[in-house]
Amino acid sequence: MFNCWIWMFILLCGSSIADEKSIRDADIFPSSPEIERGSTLKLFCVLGKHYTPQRNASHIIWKLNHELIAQENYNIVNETVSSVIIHNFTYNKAHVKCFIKYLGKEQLLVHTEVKSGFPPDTPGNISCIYYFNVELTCNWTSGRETNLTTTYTLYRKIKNTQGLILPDPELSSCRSKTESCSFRHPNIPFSNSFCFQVKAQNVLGEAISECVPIAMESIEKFEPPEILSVKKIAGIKQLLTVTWKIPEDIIPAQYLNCQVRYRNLYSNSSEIDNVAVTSEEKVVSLNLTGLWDSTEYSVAVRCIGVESKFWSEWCREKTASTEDKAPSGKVDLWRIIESSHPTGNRPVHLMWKLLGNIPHPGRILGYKIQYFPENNAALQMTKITTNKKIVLPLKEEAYIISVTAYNSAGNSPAAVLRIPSTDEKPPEIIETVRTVTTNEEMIVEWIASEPEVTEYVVEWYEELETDPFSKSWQYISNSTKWKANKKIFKPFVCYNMSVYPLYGNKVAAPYSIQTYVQEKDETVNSDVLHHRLKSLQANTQYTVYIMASNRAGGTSGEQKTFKTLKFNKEDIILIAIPVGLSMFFLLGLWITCILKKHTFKKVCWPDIPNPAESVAVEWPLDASMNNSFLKGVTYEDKTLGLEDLNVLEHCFPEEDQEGLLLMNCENHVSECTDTNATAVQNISEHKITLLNGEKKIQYNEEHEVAKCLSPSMPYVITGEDFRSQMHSALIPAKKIQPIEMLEDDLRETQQILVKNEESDNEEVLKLEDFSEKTLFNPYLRNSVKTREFLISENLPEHSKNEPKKQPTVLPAFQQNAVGQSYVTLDMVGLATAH
Amino acid sequence: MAAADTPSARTLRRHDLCSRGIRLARKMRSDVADLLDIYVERQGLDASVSVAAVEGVPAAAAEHWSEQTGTQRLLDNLAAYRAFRALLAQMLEEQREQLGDADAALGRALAAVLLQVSAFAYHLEELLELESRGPPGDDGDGPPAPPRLSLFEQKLRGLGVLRELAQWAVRSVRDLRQLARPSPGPSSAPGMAEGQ
Repeated sequence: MFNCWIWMFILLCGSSIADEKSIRDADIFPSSPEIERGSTLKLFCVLGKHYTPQRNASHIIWKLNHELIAQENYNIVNETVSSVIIHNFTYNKAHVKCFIKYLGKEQLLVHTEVKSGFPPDTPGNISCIYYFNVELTCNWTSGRETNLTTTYTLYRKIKNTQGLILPDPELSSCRSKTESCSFRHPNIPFSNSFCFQVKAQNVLGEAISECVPIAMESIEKFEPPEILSVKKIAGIKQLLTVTWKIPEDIIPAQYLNCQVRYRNLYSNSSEIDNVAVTSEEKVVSLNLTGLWDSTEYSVAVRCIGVESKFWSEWCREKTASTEDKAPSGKVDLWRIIESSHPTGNRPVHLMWKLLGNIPHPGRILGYKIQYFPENNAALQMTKITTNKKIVLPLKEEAYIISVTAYNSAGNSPAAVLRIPSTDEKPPEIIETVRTVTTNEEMIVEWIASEPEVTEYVVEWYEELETDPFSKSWQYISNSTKWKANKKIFKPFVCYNMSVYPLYGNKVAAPYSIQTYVQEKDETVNSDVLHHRLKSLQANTQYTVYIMASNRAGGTSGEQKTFKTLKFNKEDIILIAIPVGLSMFFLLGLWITCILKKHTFKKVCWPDIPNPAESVAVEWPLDASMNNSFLKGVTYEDKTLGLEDLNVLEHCFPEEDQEGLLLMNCENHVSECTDTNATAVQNISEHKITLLNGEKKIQYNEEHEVAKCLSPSMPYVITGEDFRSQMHSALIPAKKIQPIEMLEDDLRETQQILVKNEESDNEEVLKLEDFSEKTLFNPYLRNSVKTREFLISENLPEHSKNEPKKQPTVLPAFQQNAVGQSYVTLDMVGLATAH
Repeated sequence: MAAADTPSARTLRRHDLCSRGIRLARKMRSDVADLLDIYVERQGLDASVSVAAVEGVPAAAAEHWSEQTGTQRLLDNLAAYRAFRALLAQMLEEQREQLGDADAALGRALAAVLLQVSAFAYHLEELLELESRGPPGDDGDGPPAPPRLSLFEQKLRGLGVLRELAQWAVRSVRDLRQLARPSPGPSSAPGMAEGQ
């Protein structure tokens, strides 16, 4: 309430000032207020003086964003001041607008943004980091979002026996609008007595945290040290000396811990050494020992004050290489001998690995393989590789093979194996081998007949594996037992396992067994004689046997091996159903397309009438020649006519072939004349194959139009079909029609047409012998030479223009003909134009 | 708290405070050395100019230093740093009056040293508390107000204060090392600071 009075006072003062200057249209008070969420907002709108007396505060309306505020919340303070009250204001941010409404029109006077939020929570979790002689940064959490402008002040106080002291308020405080603030050099004095306190403040209130004492030693973070050198010492193997410089800007007189990280670039493994130093030691050195020979190492160092919790960053790495030394141990060498090829060669697969008992094998640059026939060392061959395997094409005789690893300092001792000749029979030393499986291990044990043999090779591979290089092997010395972790074997997979005795560089005959590392037992009652194995893996070979057991013991039956299929029934069904449905859908779609082709075509490619194409009657030859469109048609019909004109061309032989042709033509015409709709259809189909594009389809699907044109043949043409039929039928006829028509023939035809027309009660335009006129060959009496479409004589213009040349009959256009209702103007036009 | 009252705990605490105090003094010496360079440069003084002893500041050099008791050492140190606190505050005020914000870097460096001196004085008070000898009352007046000096005399006086402060920082390190040494009783944990 008191605030309201204050605002009223301000407004009255403001009004008086406005009276004097009266520059602005209106003012709103308070401007951009921030209030507590859910509280009541009160705003005042002051109308400019120049509005009065026509308009006054009663004309003011208020809107919250775009919504009108109810009138009951308004209050007219005086002639120029209106106030509004908004209860329970819960918007994060909203605009309150002051309008003046006069004569039904609203005019925005002024608006302001209102924010609502909360008073700040007490800041907590204060933590700081001290970058020595650079800056001191503290962070904290502010708690609930206030949604209002909140300022944070970080205080650096001295806590002593007398309490908290703020030595210099300006120097010892730091302001921020975020949850972080920094004191910067030189304003970062070092003291153990500092505590840090944060005050959060906004318009709704303030909250101040506890003053948290933080020892600056515990938050110190300094620059990373600098490596001065990483170098080997001449004559000392497997050692590097690292020298680095302690950063200068650190808290004096303190202990430091430094970590030296050295990374073997060959094996990409890292190790860390810890070193304790004092801040007074400017330069520190450390010998890195136990390194690999001839190997590059990347070294980095970081340090931390013993009381601090912040390590420096790692410094930039420096790289150096240890002293060169030849590999000290020989490799583990093994061989797989394939059977001889007919050519006499036999591939021998050599594999080797570095001995596991050499701790620092060093960098290996490559491997040298030397081999020669046992009885002729002069034929020694050498191969170099960086791989750990090679295939040698050896002859059938015995060979000695040696493999050495080398680097820049020299070669390792040679690992030697003898490859026996093909006709050798190596001694059998192993008597038996057995495997035992425990929870963790697979144990292979064997008994050898010659105890002086002390070295063996255990070789194993999956039964179905064919790649020799995928075989695994292990050298065993001074033992007839080998234990291996079960994890290196796959469960339910049959392994071939062989034990080879070694004596010298010779390999004796192996003893091989098959074994499973993991088997599964299923027990059934004694009366069950069949059992289904479930949860088998697809495409996997299994061996199954049945053991019958009673209290006295058990007997195992014969082992059967089978392989599961790639797909089970469910897989096949899951694949087949979608495929079948897809096929069915495509088939249905195809049938629908076929059945509804006409509909689809109409929808997609509607048949647009083309007056130029509407050849209801015979076009004049010269007119068609001059018409570019018809030229095209004519061109097409040339092709088309080749078929059609077979009949006719024979009827127009050249002079020197007259006799023969007359006979042929007569026969042909008689065939044509006698042929009924079947023949017509045949010809029509021929045409279809010669036409192209849409025409071809149209003719084929919609109309089987007679083209052979027997005089007695009835033609039925619907209105739509009319032009297309005419087009295809008339033009060829016209091209081959040099003969004038006889008037008698014309009359006869007219009569026939009239008769037919009278009897026609359907909607189709029924034409009988619509366009054909029989001509008499001057060379052949009573023979039908050709045919011509006739146009009605009752077309006056046409008759006037070309009465004799092309007398035509068009009975379909006669009055009272049923089909006349389909005659459109363009069709009539065509007819008359002709 | 009970643990802090036992003799061994008190020894450890004293050792810890001494170690930290040594770090403070060494850091202060380093900062004062930097400040001296800035001061000489910005005030246009000759670094080799000799300055008379500053009135009100106990001399860092002591005739019978090795014979002093620990408490006496602490009291001398405290008196010196309280005096430096007042002198530095006066210097800061004069510097602000003369230069305003024109030489903010010098002002900030001076203020930082002042803050550090204040913090060190409180640290000494804490050590005196541990010696069962509360710190003497601080009347806050510091040394008597100097007579009105010319600007150049003020500069020379400031130089003298800083030089004496640097001397005292060195002496404080020595004093605190002496204090951190184990008394005839059992040896306390080794501290790096005491070895310096």
